[in-house]
Amino acid sequence: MGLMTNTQIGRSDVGKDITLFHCAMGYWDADDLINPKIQAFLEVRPDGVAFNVIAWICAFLEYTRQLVSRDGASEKPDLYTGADWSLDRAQDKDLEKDTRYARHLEYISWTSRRQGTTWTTAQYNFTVGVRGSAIEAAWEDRLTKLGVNSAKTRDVIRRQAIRKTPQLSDVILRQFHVATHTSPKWALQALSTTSLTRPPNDLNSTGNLWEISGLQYSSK
Amino acid sequence: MTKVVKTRAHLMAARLQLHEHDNLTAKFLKRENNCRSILGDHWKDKRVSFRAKRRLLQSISFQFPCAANFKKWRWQESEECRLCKALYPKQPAFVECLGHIQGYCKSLQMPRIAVHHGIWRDLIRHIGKQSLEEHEDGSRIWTFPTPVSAVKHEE
Repeated sequence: MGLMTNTQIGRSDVGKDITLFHCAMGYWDADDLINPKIQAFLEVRPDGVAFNVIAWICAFLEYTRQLVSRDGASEKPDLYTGADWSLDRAQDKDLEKDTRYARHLEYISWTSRRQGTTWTTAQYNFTVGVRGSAIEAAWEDRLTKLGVNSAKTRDVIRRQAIRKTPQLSDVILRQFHVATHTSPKWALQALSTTSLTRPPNDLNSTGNLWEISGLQYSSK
Repeated sequence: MTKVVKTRAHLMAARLQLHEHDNLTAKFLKRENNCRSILGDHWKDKRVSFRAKRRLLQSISFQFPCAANFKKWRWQESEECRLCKALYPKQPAFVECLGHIQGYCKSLQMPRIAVHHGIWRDLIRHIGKQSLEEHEDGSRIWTFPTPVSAVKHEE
């Protein structure tokens, strides 16, 4: 849905379609205040999308830096929790992400059926703990489904992404450290806004952690 | 005994003693199929600074120097987030723990988004390059279109 953020073209038609879908499914009443709901629906944006043009699959891709493991539950303020602690935190986070996009995926399937096409939808979550923890089987499964056939390549991709998570998460700890020891206001201005707006899969980017954070990799 | 031999002996002793421990850190390190070997690679990497390694070690062992731990260790009275308190004095300040710093602190929102995008950008680039499943006519089965939005991201 976020793909449409930049343009207003066709937005009213999509808005009508979204309303029709929600009313047909019984999610909204016709006399509800619809406009803000459509806006909220359109503002939800997955990290990426992928299309399988043979099997007609539209997949949402999500990357999550999971905060802490279940073991570290005490590290997390109670105010934020409310999760089902019988599940592993990564699985729990995946469920949360699935729920966030469930209606959007349902809407895509519904629209596709209405137009006589057979697009199916899927969601692939890539979750890594900030301390470098990830469920290997889940990553294997998702990368295989996305057509990465070689086991060795899957392993390389997984290892690179997981290694990068604690490396980059350290940027936040550094900024916290500097801001608490100098000026808290510094934390608000330490990064350029371009690093926040660049398209996530800009192929020209090297993905260098210091390039994106605008920081020099010193020994601080 | 040389320094290298001493270090290796210490490492071996630490590994042998790990199963005797049952605290949160030991549980975290012993959990299987969670890519623990990658942590080892991280520590071996000479490009990663000593301080970065120390911060990760502090995070894993729940000893990161933050107000929640300072209060636990009785070094200070308050466990409120110093950044939230300074920047948003009218709002209730949250507990300054690792979870808050890494995931919720409002003043660290920008680095958090940058970190997320940095990792994701790299991951999707690799997936896009290596998704080699092909149709009979030689065209790739999966396509990964680029989002074009330049709207400033919010959490």
